[in-house]
Amino acid sequence: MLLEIRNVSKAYAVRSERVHALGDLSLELDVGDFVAVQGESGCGKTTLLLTAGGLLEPDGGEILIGGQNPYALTADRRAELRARQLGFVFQQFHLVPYLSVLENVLTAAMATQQSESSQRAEANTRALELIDHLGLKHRTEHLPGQLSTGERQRTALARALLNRPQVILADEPTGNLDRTNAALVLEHLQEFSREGAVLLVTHDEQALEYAQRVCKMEAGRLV
Amino acid sequence: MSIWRLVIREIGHRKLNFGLSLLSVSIAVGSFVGALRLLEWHELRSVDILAAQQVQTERAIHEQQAKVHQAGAQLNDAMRKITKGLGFNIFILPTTQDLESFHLRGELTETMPESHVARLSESKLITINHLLPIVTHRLQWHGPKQEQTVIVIGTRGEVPIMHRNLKSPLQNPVESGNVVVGYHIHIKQGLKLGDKLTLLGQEFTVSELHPKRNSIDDSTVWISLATAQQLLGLENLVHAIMALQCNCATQDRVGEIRAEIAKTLPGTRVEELSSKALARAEARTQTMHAAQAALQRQMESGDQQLEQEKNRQATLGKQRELLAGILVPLVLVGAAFWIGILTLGNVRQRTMEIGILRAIGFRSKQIVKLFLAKSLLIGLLGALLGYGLGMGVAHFWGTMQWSAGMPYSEKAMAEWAMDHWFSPNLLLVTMLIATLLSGLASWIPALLAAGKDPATVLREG
Repeated sequence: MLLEIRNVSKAYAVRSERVHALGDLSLELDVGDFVAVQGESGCGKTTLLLTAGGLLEPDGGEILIGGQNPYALTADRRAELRARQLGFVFQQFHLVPYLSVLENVLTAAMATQQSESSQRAEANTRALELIDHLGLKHRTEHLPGQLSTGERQRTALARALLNRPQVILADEPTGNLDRTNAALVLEHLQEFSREGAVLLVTHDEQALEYAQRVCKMEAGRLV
Repeated sequence: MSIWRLVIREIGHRKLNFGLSLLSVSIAVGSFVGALRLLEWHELRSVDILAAQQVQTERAIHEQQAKVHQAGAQLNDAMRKITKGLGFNIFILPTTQDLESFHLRGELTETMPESHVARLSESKLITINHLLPIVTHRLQWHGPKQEQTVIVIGTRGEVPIMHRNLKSPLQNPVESGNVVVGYHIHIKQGLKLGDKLTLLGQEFTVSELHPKRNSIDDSTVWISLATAQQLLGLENLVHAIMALQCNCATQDRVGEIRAEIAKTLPGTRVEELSSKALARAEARTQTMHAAQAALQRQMESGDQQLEQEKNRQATLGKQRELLAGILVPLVLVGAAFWIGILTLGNVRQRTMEIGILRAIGFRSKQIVKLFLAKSLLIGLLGALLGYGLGMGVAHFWGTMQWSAGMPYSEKAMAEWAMDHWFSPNLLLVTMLIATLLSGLASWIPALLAAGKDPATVLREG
């Protein structure tokens, strides 16, 4: 199993009250899974993704990524686990504004601390292949500010794919895209899901068409 | 891609932040280097001023010493000439001679045997050069035109001293029948050479007319000693023996002569005629002593001035060191604070970027490295710029001061201009200080950046 979410719960303290973002939620993803979690804003979709991504420790339950509980690891080991096993795609793209498309993609390789030149060269080659594959070859040296939103999201997708992760966690990846670009991104996610797993949280109906499995989420629970 | 590439790209993206950080490091390093350089300048200039003042003082003292020595040598020489060349004159008189009568009227009444002269000339006296035996008489003379008081002196000229080579005589003998006439007498009586005149009942021919001497000589006539002795009834007697140009090595010259004469001529006394030359010599000796005392005072004053200048320069140096000691750390702390603020601002600007990098797997150490690498670059570049800035400003200021202030030496100027422009050690020290300053100032903001929770950043972003 690539990703196991077992009875996970998470609550935030908002002023003097506790708001339950996740409540006893369980989900499993294996190779070939493309799971879309649909729900209204504030239902806990992003919290689910952050928790599953080893970024937000749950109050209860357990997360296993490739069989490893990230929250049982040190912060550095957890970061390494994220770098090697997970890929993130966000609605706001979150590209580094002063780095070119190629450099943005290669930041993922930096996270794995490749020290040997052969490793760096290999990462560079793969980055160029991904850029080409995602239709961004002519944009390789461009800065994010010079790209369209679709190109930015494809750049973010290339970054997520660089380290050959097992799972891609996508938070509203088509939220800022037109239908054409959204379709392009979703097709690439679908393509990835043949060898890995995709957990996509969205309220975009179009995205649901590409998912193998759709889960509805309300008040922190899958229904 | 390396951390450095990422840092350099970020610097290129946020130039203002980097420029301001660089400026603060440059100013801090510039203050440090400039302060050091100016303290060096002060040291160099102090040495230069003191050296110049010492040279000036020594030169003045040497000049003064040379003058005093030259004056002393001249005085010694003059004194030697005065005492040896001119000598001074003494009268050898009978002990019974009333000096008051001699001083008031120029008249001698007591006599002594003329043989005393021969005894003196045959003795081995070394203090006397010339011997002149005389008889003298004061009288009211009825001249060709008017009556006047005259002193008649009978002289036979100089008596040679036997043990010495004959010296040129100070006074020539007067031939029998001739008379030598003093200035007032020949003017009042209208006498000319060859004129005849009657004196003590005997006729004489004027053989010489003296020019004005401003002494009793102007009222004196000289005739042959033998004639005078005969006319005055003083055969084989003399009133006095004049000893002219006496030489003495010691200052108690009269005592020395008295001692010698007393051995040779008992019953005589020695009286000094004139001591003007000696008085002048003594006055000059006193002047020389005064000059030497003044020289000593000048030397002491020069030493004092030099010491005062040393103290003044030392005080000035301490004040400048104190100022630099306060100002430089203040600037360094200020710069560190400013860099810290700028880095903190940079961290806030890059919150989302840090969050996403953490999310994709960057470790906290890598985030810290991003900021410290940047601060290292700021430190190194700031050190280079600050070094140049500090050196440049200090050099400009120092050179202006050199040009404005005197005295200064070519050597000091050359040292200032050439040798202090580049110091590898100082540059290394400043690079070390600058990177430490920048690194320490960025340390806390970098830790804050590394400690950012990516989940919070992504949820809020």
